[in-house]
Amino acid sequence: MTPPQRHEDEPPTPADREAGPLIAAVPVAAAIFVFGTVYGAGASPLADPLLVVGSSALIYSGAAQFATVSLLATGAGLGAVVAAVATLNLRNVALGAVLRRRLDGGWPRRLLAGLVLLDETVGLAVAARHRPARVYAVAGVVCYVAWVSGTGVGVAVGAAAGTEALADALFPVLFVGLAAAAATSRAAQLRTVAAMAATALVAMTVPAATGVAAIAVALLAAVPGGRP
Amino acid sequence: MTWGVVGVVAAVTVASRMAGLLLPGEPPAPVGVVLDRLPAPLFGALAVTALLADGGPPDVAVLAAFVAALAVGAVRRSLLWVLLAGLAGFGAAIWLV
Repeated sequence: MTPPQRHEDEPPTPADREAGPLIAAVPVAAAIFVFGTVYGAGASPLADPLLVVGSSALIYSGAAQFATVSLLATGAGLGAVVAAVATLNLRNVALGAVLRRRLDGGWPRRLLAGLVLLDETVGLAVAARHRPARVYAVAGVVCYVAWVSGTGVGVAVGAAAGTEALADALFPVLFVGLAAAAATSRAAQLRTVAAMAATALVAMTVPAATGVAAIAVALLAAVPGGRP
Repeated sequence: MTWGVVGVVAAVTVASRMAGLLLPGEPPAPVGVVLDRLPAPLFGALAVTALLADGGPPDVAVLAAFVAALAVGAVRRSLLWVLLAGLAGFGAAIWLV
């Protein structure tokens, strides 16, 4: 197995320290909790409370769940929902392949790991120089609890005023943070900036293609050549 | 929304998660290089996707949060610091505008 690149000369990230996995996961989980309350409050008119919380427990994917609720609210059918969710989930395939190189053990362990695969959990594992599997496992559990409990709070008491605007801001900020944590070299930062610029160009010219374009652009930016 | 819809969406989502994790064997070396390099550009691209999700220009406070996060993310590899910077940018824009 070819190990992922390590950058031992860099200062440790929070996740590398002894209590690090939990400390690193908490701010991410806090953001996820906010998303959860917004989802819980927004989905409540469309389904009974148990189903809304159950959807978070079973799906555990903000992108897929927000898309599902939005489409159902406009009267879309199951086919449209599945098509949208499958497109959004394309990045999970790539993230799973990235994560696989950082996990030890056979397929049963990977099967278990797959249950908590999110952008955020993979991002934290990628950013960790040491014990990425432990960082991933802790983040997976903490973020799961935050997502489901946030949904429950949103269902029970609704989202606090301004929470939706805050969630709108936190989504891109969280991804910027994950990109910053994962960019371990100047070359990686340049590739990230290039991918962001190209995605912005697609978003402004062909908005409907942005979701798929983001993955294609990132893959192009990561092709071999030049410095790691 | 019904339990059936939730079940189908959950199945599609879990399948996509397992697809990459359960790929048999090791990828060829060039693919491994791409996988090692992929996370940062992918998260960067997703940040822009989330920023421009509505198809129009983002709200001023959202943009301020994004710019503040970018500024800190360019110099610190810390998710916590980037989140705090984003929150500060968001709060400052709400306060000023």
